[in-house]
Amino acid sequence: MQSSVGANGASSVAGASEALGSESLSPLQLAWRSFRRRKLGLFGAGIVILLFVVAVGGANVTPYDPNEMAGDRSLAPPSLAHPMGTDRFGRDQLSRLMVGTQISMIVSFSAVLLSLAIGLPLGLLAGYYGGWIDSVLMRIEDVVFAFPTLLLALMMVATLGASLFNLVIAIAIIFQASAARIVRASVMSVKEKEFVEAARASGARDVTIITRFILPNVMSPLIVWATFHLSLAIFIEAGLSFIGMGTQPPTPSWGLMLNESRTFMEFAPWLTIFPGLTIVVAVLGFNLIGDALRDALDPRLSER
Amino acid sequence: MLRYILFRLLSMIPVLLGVSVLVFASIWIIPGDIVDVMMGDEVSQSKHAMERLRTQLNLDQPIWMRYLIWIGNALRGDLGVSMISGEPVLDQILDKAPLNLQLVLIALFFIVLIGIPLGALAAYRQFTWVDSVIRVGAIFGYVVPNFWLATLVVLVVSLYFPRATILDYVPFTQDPIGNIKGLIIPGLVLAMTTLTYIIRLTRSTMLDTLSQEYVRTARAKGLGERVVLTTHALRNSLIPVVTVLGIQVGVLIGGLVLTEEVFMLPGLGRMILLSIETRDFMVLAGGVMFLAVVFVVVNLLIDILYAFLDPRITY
Repeated sequence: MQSSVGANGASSVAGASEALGSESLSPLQLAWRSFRRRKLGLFGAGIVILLFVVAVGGANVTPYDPNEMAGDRSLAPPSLAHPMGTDRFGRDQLSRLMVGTQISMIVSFSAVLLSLAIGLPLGLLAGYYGGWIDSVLMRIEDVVFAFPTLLLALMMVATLGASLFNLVIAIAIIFQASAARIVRASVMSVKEKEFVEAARASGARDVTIITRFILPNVMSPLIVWATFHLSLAIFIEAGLSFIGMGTQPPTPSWGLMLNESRTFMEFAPWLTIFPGLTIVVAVLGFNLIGDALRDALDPRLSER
Repeated sequence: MLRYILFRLLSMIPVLLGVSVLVFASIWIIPGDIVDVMMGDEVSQSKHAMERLRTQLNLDQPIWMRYLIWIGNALRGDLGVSMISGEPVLDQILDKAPLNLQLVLIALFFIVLIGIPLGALAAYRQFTWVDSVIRVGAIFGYVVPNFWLATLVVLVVSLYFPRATILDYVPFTQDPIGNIKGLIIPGLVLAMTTLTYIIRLTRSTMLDTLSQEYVRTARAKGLGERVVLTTHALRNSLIPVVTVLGIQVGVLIGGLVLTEEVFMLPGLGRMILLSIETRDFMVLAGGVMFLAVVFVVVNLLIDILYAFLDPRITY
């Protein structure tokens, strides 16, 4: 008898929580529902997924070997065999742009992840503890903000030495400052809320409060931040490679290809047009996702 | 107000100090012996020249002492001399800075005169094709790298208008009108990223203010549409735009390096690039330091302007 009541009780609790689950959605599901309705955002997501596929596929999915030279077809204009033409060594430009996707994705994702690894804890510390920790950390970050972004990146890469690795380090050092600022601002806006007070009153430790109650509330602005900064990193990589201070030859990178095309641009304009278009499409993809995510995750910031 | 200005001036000091430390550290963090790096791979460099460079760089002193000497000289307007030309770095900077000022002013001219009206127009004509065209244009303008846009402009001019002189640079002292004419297109290209950003920003803040009650009140009491739009709606929409303009000056300064390179303009950006190529680190440090200080000061001025513009802010 007793056992049957227990079983009934348990099943009714399970039933209730199931019913609740179908009615209330998690914040992530809500955001996805809202994001799904934004056509431009989906279009951007399509572009980025395509970039990912091309980047992961690498040299396996290119129509030609991106480094294969052929003197007899050097500077060939776009044709059926080479839709985007060939460069001065006869290398297929489409294949090189496809392989260049890897560089852009590696640089942007590792720079943004590294900057988050530094900026997130710093922002949490500054926002949660306030006081002198906040003052000292934010004054240090102010120094990074005192430089025009591209100029600081250029100076660091110039003195550390132009390489892919140093480029990632430089971008990460610059980005962590704005990551820390975003995190700090959202921590400060939630740390006085009742649920944090309640957690503190019930004796939760700082680590628990930060990771369980504050961190989830920081995620929305941070995801939007990361999306826009992925595109900014692509910009910086392309810009610095364009002046020879980023990716070094023979690695095919979009900015570097633009740089190499300058000598021949009057005879072979396709070498100038296609790498630029590729950068535009990639940056557009990340920006459209960013716009849609911002609207979906934080309606207050929406641009309408 | 005066107290606020004073406070902002004082808070600039630690930032500028930090900027100088970062620039100094970047130069001295260069892997390897700086004299070897600066002198290049040529074995022919005499021992004597290397020794002279060593004393010139105060390499016999500890690093903190070298920083103090460097910053002390910098405060007195001495940024060292170029390793290549022997010319004082500050003279080189002051020689090239007017061109950069011109470029940034031309860019700001386009940003304010095209960006703000287009943004306001898009907001006023929301849900019409005018708004759609402006929005799509602004998105594209924002994602086009300006060094690529610059390259395309150079390409089009050289292919289709080989005799055009619109991109030819002439010094201001030689021909002021020709000089400004030659900077119009580079200025517009430099402006593009910020311009399209300002369009989007003005549009969204304008939409906000147009839905405010004081705008409705102004219309209700029978004010003309033009007065409502310009003095009530637009004026209040501009406050956030002005703040953003300060930060955007940084984007313009950063963009100078690439734009000057493509248009072959002899400004600070090319000076910095050349200094990197020739490993002329005193020029690099001086140039970067100068532009960072300009950026900090511009933002200070914008902050003060902001306090004047927004009557709700009191200090």
